[in-house]
Amino acid sequence: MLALIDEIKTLIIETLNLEDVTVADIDTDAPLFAEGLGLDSIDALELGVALHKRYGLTLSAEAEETRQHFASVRHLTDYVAAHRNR
Amino acid sequence: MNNLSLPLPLLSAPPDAIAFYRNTVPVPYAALRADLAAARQALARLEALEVVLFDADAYAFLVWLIACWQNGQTALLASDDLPGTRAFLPLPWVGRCEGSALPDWSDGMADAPAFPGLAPQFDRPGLVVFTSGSSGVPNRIFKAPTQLYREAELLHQVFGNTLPPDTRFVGTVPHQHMFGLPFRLIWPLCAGFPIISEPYRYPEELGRLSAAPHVLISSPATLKRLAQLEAFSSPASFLAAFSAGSPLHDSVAAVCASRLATRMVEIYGSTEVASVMHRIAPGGIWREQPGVTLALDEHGCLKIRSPLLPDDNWFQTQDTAVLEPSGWRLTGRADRVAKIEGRRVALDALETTLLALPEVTEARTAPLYRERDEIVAAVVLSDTGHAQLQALGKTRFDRWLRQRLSASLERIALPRRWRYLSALPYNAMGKITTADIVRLFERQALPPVTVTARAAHEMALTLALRDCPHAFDGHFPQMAILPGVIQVDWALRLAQRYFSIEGRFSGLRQLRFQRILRPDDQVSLTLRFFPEKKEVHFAYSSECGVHSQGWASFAHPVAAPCAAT
Repeated sequence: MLALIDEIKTLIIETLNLEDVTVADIDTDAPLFAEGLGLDSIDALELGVALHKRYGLTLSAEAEETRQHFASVRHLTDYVAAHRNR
Repeated sequence: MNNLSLPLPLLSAPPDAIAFYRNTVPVPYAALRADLAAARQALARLEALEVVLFDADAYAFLVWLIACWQNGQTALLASDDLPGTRAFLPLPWVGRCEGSALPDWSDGMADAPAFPGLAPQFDRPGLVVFTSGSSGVPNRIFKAPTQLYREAELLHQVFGNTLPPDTRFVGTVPHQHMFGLPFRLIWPLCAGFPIISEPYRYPEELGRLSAAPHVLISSPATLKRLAQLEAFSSPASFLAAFSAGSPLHDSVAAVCASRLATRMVEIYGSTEVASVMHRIAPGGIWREQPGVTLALDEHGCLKIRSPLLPDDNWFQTQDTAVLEPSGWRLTGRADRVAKIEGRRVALDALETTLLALPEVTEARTAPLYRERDEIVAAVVLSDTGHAQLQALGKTRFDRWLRQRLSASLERIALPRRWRYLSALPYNAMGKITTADIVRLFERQALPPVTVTARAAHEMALTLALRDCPHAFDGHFPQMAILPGVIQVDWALRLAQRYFSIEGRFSGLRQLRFQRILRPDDQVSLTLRFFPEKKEVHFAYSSECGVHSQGWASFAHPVAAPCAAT
């Protein structure tokens, strides 16, 4: 699971082209949006596409559910681990 | 009188005809009419001439909106229900949102008079939408329902005549803005096409649509990502796809046209003037919508006369254009309002907010249009700012500044990249050009990287040196060579990107530059991390052999001094 957490952090950094941010900088339990990493709606869109490409996940239309998966790197890792098909 | 201006299908469509799909469940006109009557009754009880309307559900939103119009009430469209927006609009809020006075219309169910009911005695503007003005203060734009119905008629005349009546309208854009509202909701409502209530936010979701004809209302933000997917398929047939908000690049349009197997129609317009021109992308030229007249002012900015404007006066834009023999070509904007993924961002307002922080003495921002649109900021810090930067380190300080700005600015308007300078790059004329600001962000950019092998503590990457021309600038004027200091910088930054390295860079050893690196070299970089030693070995190599290599070490920082605030 630890490896997957780092992999997802790397995916976030690469996908969003976050400058100067390193794997060590991303707190596994901090919110990705609002405070914490402070991502925006376009970032969510980019991440959604990257998760689809890498893990074959299709995010659901229900925004609330998607928002929960994006709550933190840990939430996202749990979701990827449970639903990946690639 | 008012009833005559209701969209015709609301009055005449058979009760079992389908008006909407909510979560794939069809909603017949009979249900829509009953909901409208109840919403109208519930709204009338509010006894407010103006209400703020916000509902993330497009069906509920449209019911509330039409009910407002029937009652002669004005709906102010909010784009979110955040505390700042609620404080800015101290009126009754309607729809399912924070602090709503009327979250649903169940109140009006029992005693609602039959739809459509009596027309009201008075006429009000019907709709208020907000745009961010150049000062950053939102401008109120008034719209009459008839303006929207007229636009729907025009859209139908230009694009809708060949669509079969069961064509479903599906959108990836919000319905409370002046592209989503007319295209996703009012046009299909007026023409009797069924509307899919849920937004399809992610491009791959379009693969879940059913095997029916669809019209897609989208934006470059989503289409860009649709073009990036490895594969895309959908049982739906797309009869047209519309895009607006920011320029749709021909390369994106070409991929989307083939993936959706349809024509891509790009719309140029604005909140104030509605749709003005359209073109078939890729490659098509801009054509005016029926009745629209265009001209250029003395600064090369477009001005517009349109039947969709409330009067016959010229409407001045800040969009620059040139008239070519084949048609109009849009060339940019004349003011300091940037378009970030389709949203207007007032740079002056952003800089004013930055300058209000005690940490900042000078600031200049610019839009950067690369893989994604973003705002970048070049900042001169005060002593307090420097102390804070030292205490937090750059990454945390960047984030901390964004956090400070987010209280008063939309997240998408926040700078994503920062440079802290001793002085802003004024030129000989005493001006700062956007190009000079943008250059600050290009020079240090990493080249595009492809991962070729990945293990826990070892990575192999190939680097596209050609795509990083700035890195070769100024070393040897007569010959482009990648400076050693940049090679080391890239290796360190990439190592920190891929490995969980605690501590800060503390030194280099056994650095060897054996062969020069030229832009055309096919170079790969291997990074090996030794966690117990906190050291990284890096080596740049190509088919000619190793070009350079060395060791970098990391150490825990000495405890940071407390911020002097």
